[in-house]
Amino acid sequence: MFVSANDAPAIRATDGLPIHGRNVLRSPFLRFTLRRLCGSLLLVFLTVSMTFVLIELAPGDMVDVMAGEAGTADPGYIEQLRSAYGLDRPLLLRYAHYLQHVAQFDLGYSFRVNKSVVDLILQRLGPSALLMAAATGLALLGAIPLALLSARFADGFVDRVASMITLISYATPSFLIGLTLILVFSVDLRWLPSGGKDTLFSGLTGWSRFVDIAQHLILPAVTLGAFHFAVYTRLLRASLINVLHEDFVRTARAKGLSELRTFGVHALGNAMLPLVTMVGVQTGALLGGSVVVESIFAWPGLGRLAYEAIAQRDTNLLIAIVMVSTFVVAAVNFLVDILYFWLDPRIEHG
Amino acid sequence: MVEMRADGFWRQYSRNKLAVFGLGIVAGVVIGTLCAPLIRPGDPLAVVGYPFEWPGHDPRFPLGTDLLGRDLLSEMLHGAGHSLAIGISVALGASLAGGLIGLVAGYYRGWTDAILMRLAEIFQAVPGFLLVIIIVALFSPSFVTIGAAIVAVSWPSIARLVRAETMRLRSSDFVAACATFGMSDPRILLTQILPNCLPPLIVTTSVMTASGILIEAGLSFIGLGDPAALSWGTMLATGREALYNGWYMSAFPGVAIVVTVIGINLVGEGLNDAFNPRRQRRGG
Amino acid sequence: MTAGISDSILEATDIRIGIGGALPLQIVRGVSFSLMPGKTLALVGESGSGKSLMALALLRLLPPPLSILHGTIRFGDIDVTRLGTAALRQLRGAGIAMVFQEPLSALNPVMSIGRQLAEAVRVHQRLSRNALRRRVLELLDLVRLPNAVRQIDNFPHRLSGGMRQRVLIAMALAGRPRVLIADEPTTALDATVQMEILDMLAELQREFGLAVLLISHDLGLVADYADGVAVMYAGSIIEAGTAAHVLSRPAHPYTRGLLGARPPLRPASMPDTGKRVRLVEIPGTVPEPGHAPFGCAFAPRCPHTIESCREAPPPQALIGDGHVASCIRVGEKA
Repeated sequence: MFVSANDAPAIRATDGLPIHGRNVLRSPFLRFTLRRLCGSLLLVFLTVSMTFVLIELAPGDMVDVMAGEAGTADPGYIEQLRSAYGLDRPLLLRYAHYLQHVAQFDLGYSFRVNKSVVDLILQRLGPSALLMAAATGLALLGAIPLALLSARFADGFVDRVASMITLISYATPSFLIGLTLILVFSVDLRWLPSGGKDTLFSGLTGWSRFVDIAQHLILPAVTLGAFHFAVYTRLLRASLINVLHEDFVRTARAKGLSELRTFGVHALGNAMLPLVTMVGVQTGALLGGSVVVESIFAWPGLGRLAYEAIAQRDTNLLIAIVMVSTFVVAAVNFLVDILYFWLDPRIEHG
Repeated sequence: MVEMRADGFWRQYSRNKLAVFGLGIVAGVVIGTLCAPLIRPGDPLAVVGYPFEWPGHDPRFPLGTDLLGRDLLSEMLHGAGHSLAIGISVALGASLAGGLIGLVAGYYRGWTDAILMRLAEIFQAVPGFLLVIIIVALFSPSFVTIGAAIVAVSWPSIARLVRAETMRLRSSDFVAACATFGMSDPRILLTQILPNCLPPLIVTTSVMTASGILIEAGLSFIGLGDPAALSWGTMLATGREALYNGWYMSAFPGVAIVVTVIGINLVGEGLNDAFNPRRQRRGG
Repeated sequence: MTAGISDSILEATDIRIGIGGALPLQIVRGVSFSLMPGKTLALVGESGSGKSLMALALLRLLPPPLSILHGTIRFGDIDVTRLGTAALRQLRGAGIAMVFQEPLSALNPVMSIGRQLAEAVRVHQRLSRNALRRRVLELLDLVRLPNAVRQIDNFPHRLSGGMRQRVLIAMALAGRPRVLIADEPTTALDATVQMEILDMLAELQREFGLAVLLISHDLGLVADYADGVAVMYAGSIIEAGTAAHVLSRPAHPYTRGLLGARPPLRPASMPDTGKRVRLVEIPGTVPEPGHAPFGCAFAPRCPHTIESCREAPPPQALIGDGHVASCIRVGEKA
């Protein structure tokens, strides 16, 4: 009843007053950022090392892997690689060489396309990012209203229907969704194109180009986003239901606020936070899922590149893609953590 | 302590109609697998008829034939076994690996915990499907490599789960009591902590079976499936060629996958509800 | 406290709260009281007595599956129990306002207190941005929150418990209500802060002529701030009257027990007679909400029970001037 600790001001140095402007850049925030940055870099380093371990464990030596089974590699080049990677040297030195190459962004060379692997990947990064962003956007666009309705009328008709829809979205493999969409919208209805990023050699610019790309983007984005739509809906629904039991929702109602505002602003504002983190976590699944989706829709992204690499047995390229993907995921998670830190005023330390 | 009587548990489980329905689906698939050699003996990959027969045209082939003239029904029944086998072995493997690591990490804390969790983080840092692809590509596709790859990707989440439960239970009274009368650590882990971790572990494992099936299907679809095996995934890969005039070849395995995964998920949800009886689903 | 109906600003008549349907469960079993402008009625009882539910019912904020099963609530000439949603929203905050017990959880953690206050004002009044800001500052001044200008952008978790409660009170006053319901407003606070908050509430009451329903389990607090007292037990009011009467001459054995179990109390209006009260424990426990025993709910724990106590719920007996108690043995003892 008479709790003594209660009157002590919750926070320290600033006398319980808000931190304004420039102060934000000082201690807690910056420390958090730096700490997270170090964590991310460490993780990337460890993952690169693990990739090395995997390559070492695989049958054949490093160069067999690097040069690929395509047989397009020049024997002189293979010799060069062997010495460059010091395959006659002890393990640790090989490891050091490997790290050195990675740090210099030298991930090899692709004879097939006559480009360095790094260039190849960079070229595909843009379209992948576009597809992933569109997929996430669509997923959220569908998830938020559906979760709101489900939570508001929990266990009601809407909720059950939503539950079934999300279950089907979750359970259907992306290639099935993709193929079905192509059949329906491209073949039967002829509304949308069945592949590619834009109409080739059309020379469209400005708005028409934008529309053209959008038309090509929509089916793959829906396909890729379907699974995540299910995940976000379920998560947000659970989060909303939790938040609805909180006292401040009752206060909002007692103030005379409409249900819409109570729900849409107060409840949703709080329930969104776990969703933000989840979006970050799902980046990996987006990248993985894009392999299949991009291959079905011939979308020129990283996923498609991976698919081509598999088909060509170009293991070197595959490894490079895996490394870049890891880096991307780490970067996105890092940004999401910063964003979360920014969004939730309760977090003062990391 | 978790004490569950079998009949009490079933009663709790069966309250969720959907969960029972899911169980029915799973049972159906398992029965189909087991009866495959009875209903359709022989090699499912044998060419037995004209290609592109639509279902219903030829009474010998209720589901039609694929583009090479193989019996779809036979392929479906035999393929079910492979898909299920992968799913189950992966789930068990990941549970074993993840469970063990989680138990050790959660119980001993300190450096062991830090290192093991770092390891888990690394495996989770690489996008799952990509890691599976790279492992299978490096070590050549086979049942073992595919299974190992999916386990490699799945164990971290199980490990975290078990670790959290272990940490929670470690500080409970009954564990402390056991320690005081000299019970050895492994015994404590096995007899006291593990049984209490089982409910969430079982639920997660069942759901993992479903994702195992999905991943295997995905791998087969992009050409990294086990070349010797026939699964629903490989059927989808083959069916892709005939999409425009023979889409039924993809529809059957596709729908089968969806239905099975839904069934498994429903069972998982049912198990979850049965283990944690909460408020009645009546708008409470 | 049950003076002419035309005087009261809020009147609750035979309110029963519980879960309806096939297996009905009553937690509040017929409660009536009225609030006068400028006066404070204290609703006292242990946890489980139903007093908080009664408060929530006044604003129709009962969480499902609970609902008002019977009875009416009249605010002025409006029947709150039959009010439609839109009118109800207008009533909340502007006619009747409520302050809750846990100030931290009662505030939205991700919204600045300025915004939450502005919201409370905006619901009932259309103001320009500047006027809104001024009104918010005005409210914060009313509750004497230090450094109001800078606190506007602050977040709830950075304020102390007492400060948060002041913010909640400011929010409650934003709509210029006539009735203020304070549900255990100081229970979660330090002893010294409790007094400050209650003193402030008393001042605000005087300034705005508010009718205050003060809900508490703490008789000590009630003694200093209440004009009238109603004691609840197991969902019914078992004694009611002016604070002076109920606290100095408790008629119901439960009230006596409550007072006896506390260090000696004396309402501010009474002179110190020097009498000391024995510290007495009430044996037994409060019945489960909704499962009150038949007859007098207190009978199992009452030292003065007789046969007829369990036969029927005791009617309200008038003891003195506006002082009632639900006990059949009330007239007997001195």
